[in-house]
Amino acid sequence: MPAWMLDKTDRQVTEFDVGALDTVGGGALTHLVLCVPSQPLLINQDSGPIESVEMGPPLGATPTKVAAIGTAALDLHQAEPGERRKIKAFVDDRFEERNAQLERLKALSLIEQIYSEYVIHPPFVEQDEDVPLWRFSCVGFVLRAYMEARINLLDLAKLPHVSLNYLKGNYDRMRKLLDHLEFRTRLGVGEGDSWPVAMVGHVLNSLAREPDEIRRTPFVPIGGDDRFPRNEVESA
Amino acid sequence: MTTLVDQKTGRQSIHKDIYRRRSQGKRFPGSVLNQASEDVNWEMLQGFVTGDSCFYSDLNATRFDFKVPAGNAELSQTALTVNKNEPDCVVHIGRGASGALVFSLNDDNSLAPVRLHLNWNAASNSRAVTEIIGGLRQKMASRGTWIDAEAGTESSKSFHRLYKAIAEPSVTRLKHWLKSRVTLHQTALAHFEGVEEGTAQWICNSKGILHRLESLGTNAADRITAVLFAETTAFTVEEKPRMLDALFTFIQGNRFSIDERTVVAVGSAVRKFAMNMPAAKLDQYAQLFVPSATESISCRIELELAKGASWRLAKLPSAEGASAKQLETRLAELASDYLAPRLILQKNYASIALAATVGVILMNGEPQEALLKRVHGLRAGQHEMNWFRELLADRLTDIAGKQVAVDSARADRLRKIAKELDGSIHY
Repeated sequence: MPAWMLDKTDRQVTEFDVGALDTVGGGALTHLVLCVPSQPLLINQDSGPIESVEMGPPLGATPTKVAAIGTAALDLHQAEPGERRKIKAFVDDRFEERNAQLERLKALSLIEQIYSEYVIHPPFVEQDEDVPLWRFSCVGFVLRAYMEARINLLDLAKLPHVSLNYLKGNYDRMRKLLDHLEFRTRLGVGEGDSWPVAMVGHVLNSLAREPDEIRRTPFVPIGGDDRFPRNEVESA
Repeated sequence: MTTLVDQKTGRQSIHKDIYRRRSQGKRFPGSVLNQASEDVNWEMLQGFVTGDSCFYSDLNATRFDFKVPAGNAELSQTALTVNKNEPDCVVHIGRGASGALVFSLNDDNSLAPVRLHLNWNAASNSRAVTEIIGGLRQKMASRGTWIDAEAGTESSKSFHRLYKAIAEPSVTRLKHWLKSRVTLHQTALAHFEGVEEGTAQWICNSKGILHRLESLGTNAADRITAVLFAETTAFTVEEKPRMLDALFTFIQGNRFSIDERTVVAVGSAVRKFAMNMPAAKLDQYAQLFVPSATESISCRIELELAKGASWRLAKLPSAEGASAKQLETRLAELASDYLAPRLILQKNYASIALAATVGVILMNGEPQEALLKRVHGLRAGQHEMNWFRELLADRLTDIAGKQVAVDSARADRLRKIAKELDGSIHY
């Protein structure tokens, strides 16, 4: 089961393993990052921040204190580090675009920064004529990076719906703004009262499977899988 | 100086008369000048200019973007400038800072400087102004900080030093312009603070961005900002050709730059240009790959050029893309150069080689065969470098999936190549 809430036990983190943060407090995991330690590292709940890349916005490389980690055991049994190389090529690509994003965000007000170049649903949006760069949610950035390595962590066509109130709890920074339809529309959660949003818990629960299964079958989350460890009461 | 505040609301705002004066340009054709005759205090100058062509003011917390008409005279970087059509507007344009001097009219009809607003922009090259400001430096924050130096206050010493250094000589020269006055009856000086927190409106609309991209008078910092925001702004069908021309000119003039912000902006411009260029511009785009006699293009720019080409070629109909032979040659050269085991493991090179190879395959011309042979034979010592072949196969499969409905023959061809690449993988 290669996903854990960090406790006193040491867990190994290697490049491009997934880290989750409790940004709101209270134990709920609300933000996802790719860990990028320069070499494999043992961490536990008392460890300090580790190097990571994340979709802020902007996409950034920052030391982050994670509360949970998940690993697909990248490059396990492979002669060459192919999965990591593919993810790295993807991340490096995005970082050049990120520099432009960073410059733009400097010129924007705080509110504009929140919705500019960020999406909630779908978790990632490809470049087009109007915006020729990728846009992601924090979860979407991790999902897309793993897709480069041919690892589909989630079945995006079968995500459970979440409500507006639920989103407000998870996106605390934009809690009030989410009441505005125009604002929500820009983030992809406009009309309607629930949306199939990829959540942090879905990814960790996907990673909480055997490495072979992770590669073989995209995880299909059900109610309760938005929490990690899985919320058995809610799913019952 | 008299500080006037609206008696009813307590709010500070620009007097309507000032706004009316600002409103006589094309932007607000219905406005008329209707200065009140009540004479209380007279003050000169409101608002400030960022760059050299955009006037911002703040009226009841609503910001107005006002294009200064032609004829606006800009003096040297740290001097004052006056808008000939609006002589009450005297602005300070400094490198990295912009601001406004506020004057009051003395009884003897002389002008007395009473307040200086500076908007500090740390994102710009601000050294020149930093040196001049001297004593005020400690008051600056990282960005968007207003230094409000006021005569008769604690900062008056700094204010007078600053005024002596940069303002007085210019004001003397420009005094003949300073004839129009604006009454401040009932209301106060503009509440500039609103500007520091928010965003200049022009970066949020295609017209404002296009104006700055095309205007010869746009300074370097604003031009870069315009390029960066052009990337994330939708342009109308009518605007697109102008946007493309302006971005191409920017890329061409800056692709060898080593200035970090400029390099980032060139990458941004390349992505926007590439995603919007018509097939007729593909060979023009190919020129951007070519180094000069003495300069080479950084791999960061090459990456954006190659990515942009492959994105665009994937969107264009096969026949249109295939006709751009110069682009095909440039992409084939680029891919071939970087398809070397030692290079491809370095940052960006794998992505450049990948995007360029995808571009060549999409164009389906003569160089394709040799390039695919290189990819199939790619090895680094004991390693097969399967990951690169897999990435290429995945890209082609992805494009094929999107092409099925519009060009099934192309989709089939791409799938076939992808399958061969996957088939050549040995673990």
